[in-house]
Amino acid sequence: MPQDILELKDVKKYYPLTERYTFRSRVTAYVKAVDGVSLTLPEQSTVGLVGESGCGKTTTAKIAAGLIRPDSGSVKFMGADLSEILGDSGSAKQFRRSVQLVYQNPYSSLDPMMTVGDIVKEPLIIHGLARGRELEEAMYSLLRKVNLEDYHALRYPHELSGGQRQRVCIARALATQPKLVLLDEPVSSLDLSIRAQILNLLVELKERERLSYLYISHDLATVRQMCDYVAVMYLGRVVEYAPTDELFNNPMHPYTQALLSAIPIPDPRVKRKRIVLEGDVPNPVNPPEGCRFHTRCRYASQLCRERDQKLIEVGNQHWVACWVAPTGGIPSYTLEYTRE
Amino acid sequence: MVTETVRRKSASQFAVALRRFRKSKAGLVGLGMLVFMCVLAAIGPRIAPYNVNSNNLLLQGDTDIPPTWLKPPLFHDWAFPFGTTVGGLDVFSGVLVSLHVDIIIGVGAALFAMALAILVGLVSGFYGRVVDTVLMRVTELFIVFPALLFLLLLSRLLAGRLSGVETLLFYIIIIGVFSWATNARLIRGEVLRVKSLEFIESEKALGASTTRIVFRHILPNVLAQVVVLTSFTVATSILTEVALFFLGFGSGNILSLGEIMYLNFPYMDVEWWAELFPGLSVVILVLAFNLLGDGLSDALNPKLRE
Amino acid sequence: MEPTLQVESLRTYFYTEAGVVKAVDDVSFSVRPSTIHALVGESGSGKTVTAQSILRIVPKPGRIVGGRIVFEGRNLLDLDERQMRMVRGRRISLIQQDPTATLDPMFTIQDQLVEAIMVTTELDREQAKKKARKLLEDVKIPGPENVLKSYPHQLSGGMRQRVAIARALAGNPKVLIADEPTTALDVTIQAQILELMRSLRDEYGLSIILITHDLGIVAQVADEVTVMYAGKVCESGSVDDIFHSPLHPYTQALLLSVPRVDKRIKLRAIPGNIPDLVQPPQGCRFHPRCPYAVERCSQEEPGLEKVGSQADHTLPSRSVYCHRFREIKLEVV
Repeated sequence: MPQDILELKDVKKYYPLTERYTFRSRVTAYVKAVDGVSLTLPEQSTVGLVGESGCGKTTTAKIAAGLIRPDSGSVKFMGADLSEILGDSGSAKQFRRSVQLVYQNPYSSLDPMMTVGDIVKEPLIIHGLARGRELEEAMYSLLRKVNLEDYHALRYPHELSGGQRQRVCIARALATQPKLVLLDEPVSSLDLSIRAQILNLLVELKERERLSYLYISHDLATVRQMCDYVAVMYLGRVVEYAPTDELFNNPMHPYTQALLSAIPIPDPRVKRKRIVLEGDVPNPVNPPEGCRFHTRCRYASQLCRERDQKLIEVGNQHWVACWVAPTGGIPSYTLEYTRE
Repeated sequence: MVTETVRRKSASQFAVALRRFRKSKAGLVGLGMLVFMCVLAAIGPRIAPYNVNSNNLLLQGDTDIPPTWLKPPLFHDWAFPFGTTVGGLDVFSGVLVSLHVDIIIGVGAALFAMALAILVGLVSGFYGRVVDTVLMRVTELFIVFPALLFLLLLSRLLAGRLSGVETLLFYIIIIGVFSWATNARLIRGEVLRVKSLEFIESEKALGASTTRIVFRHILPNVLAQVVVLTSFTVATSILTEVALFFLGFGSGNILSLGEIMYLNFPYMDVEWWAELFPGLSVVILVLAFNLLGDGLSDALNPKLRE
Repeated sequence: MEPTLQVESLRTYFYTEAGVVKAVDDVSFSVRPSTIHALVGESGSGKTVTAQSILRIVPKPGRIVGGRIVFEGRNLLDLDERQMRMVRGRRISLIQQDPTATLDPMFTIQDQLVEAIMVTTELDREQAKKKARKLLEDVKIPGPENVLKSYPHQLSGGMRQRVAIARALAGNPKVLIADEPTTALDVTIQAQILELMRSLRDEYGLSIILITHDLGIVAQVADEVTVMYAGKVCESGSVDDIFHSPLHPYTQALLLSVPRVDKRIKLRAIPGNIPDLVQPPQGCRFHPRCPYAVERCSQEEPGLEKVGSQADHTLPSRSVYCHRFREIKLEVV
């Protein structure tokens, strides 16, 4: 059975808001950025983490990457506990080689004072993976893997286009031959005509280099293209998790349905039932009692107002955190085409 | 068919900055003035037509120069372009001979101050929390302290006992010690700004050690600000030195423009030119460094970074 | 039906140190009454500069160097600054991507709305206050009294954008230019704002020029579309025409490369990069990336070709800029 590369169990991260007085400070509230997230990432698969701003997806990803320490819950990388891995400098360095990140903004994630060549060589140097002639060769080979030319090695980030910069970020991420790559909105800041290039490159690399991806985005359309499984997040929790096609064809959680109904589709023919969510996304500082979504949910019952729900399995690898959905109380939602 | 626009000009940050600097009028003027003054300072002692040293500036007079009284400057006697003093000394020679002292002290003090400032700023900005709080309080102490008074005191107490070269070093250090603090704060601010840029986090994710991050990534990106600050700090250091000497608290065994201005001051109503030309020289020197700083700031300004 | 606003052969160039950037180079399109007209393009396409040109707020070193913008019987480019000020905010309004930047954090919503109303209409303060409340109702803000008393930072992104729209409507304009109005908003909020725009079009007969790079938004909300690339127009037409029978290879390429939420498709990437506008490609600006390019495309710039009957003004005008549009058969998703 393929091993799960990543396993998060009930991970929490709260950021305290403090009022500072002269000689003491008082914690008044917590921003519950991540409030009990459980997730698994099977090897060599792509799991998408979607949600709107403030849902905690980026924080979750950074916790998975070991950049933020969770307040509670466990993170396991290839079966080993992450806090133990990071505690020992030897295994920590090994971990840094195995897990890499690609950020949303390809410009600010590159040191403007370094050439592309230096940037790509950096991880190899840090981990002592190559030197001298070998180092140069390795660097050029990485550039070629992302369809950049050799002469790009002498350029500086500000001389490259957005798509090219993102390729540099990807090349850098591949340098240490990682097992898991966390992609945080990798194409959101790129032009439309470039996005497909990068997305196709990512798919190709996943095959060739045998990678697993955690794909974070608010753009459900790209998630549909890229991911094998999708986890929908809302206010620090995963509210629905299913294989991609299952999620999009049979969304069960009311939030997922609302999301799908809201996302514009580049085809005027597609008519959908529009589910309009009232109000704004509530504040992660004081999330509602009971199920977090109940304040905007048209199917909310008394139970929903009182008690929070954890993810329960309702079908073929399909999990929902909802009281009403498993009982069939929520009508199904599909996208219909009307042809004129 | 895939084409790509090929840039022909080198585009390292350094080359880009150099190009921008060339367009800055302030910077070029400042640089020109500075080069001129430095050359003058370097050859000054050799081309000065008359021997001037701190001894003969005192009213004792000197037999090197024919005793000329109250010779008006310029147009009247080209042998003494800046005029002469009551004591019979050539102001022009005085300026030529003392120029290098001011420059040495100014630049030296600035470099010393910046070295301290970079150290404190980097450590404070990067490590944060307790270290930051402590270092910032120390910094504040130095900022708030009435530096000039203390400098005057130190100078009066200690300077007289040192030899020529040691005296220079002495002034470099004490002036430097009172100008590092403000810069430390500014550098810390810049470090904080760079630290929050995404690429620093990505370096951490790559597994880079703290040392590497600080010296290979934060420092080069902070350098721009440092260079600009250095130029301005030289300017203020020179002014501090001139103030120190002008007020009469100089050590007496080195001759700087400030010292000349101190010695000639009592006779200002009679021979104002003896005060004017050294003063003008100070102005030009300080202006040069300030303009240079402006030019550098234009050249390295992050807002213009593509 | 006469078009409300007609842009003819607009040229706006930026005179920079690096050279002349032809940001908008011979752009023409017309906006009809009670219509949402989308200007679609990627970065460098010139869509924002076009909006700035219409309102004549092009920042230096840019300058409008040619063309006409016909609105209410006059060429806006002929007006002097004083006359232009009568147009801005009163006849043509603008809302932009980031409402946080356009609302002053120091004043309450009521203050800002009242100020906008008093500047653009003849109403006095009391009347303006009433109108402010009505405007907030028009943009479907719940609890308008509370919002009036609030400061911008107390409101969410979606609310702020509604307020910005309300303020833009203060002078009863005929045309609203919306430059990427939902890019900074969450998708569920975006849907609300787009819905609002549709109702404004229907209830007030407003023409909206919607500038965006998101094809999904265009498909859902626009009536007519002008596709732009590197400062030029590729094609114009109704939203159905553009999506289901595009005439320009760029439009097709975009449609084939954009991922969709309703089905998984094989993404066909467009090779190459967006051109440098200081030295754009010779001839058709898209030709280096165009699968149908022939020699002529690299030498001659394509001119305007009108398609279909022009006599019937009830139909939107359909036009394309491509040498080979008659020959090539484009596929659609």
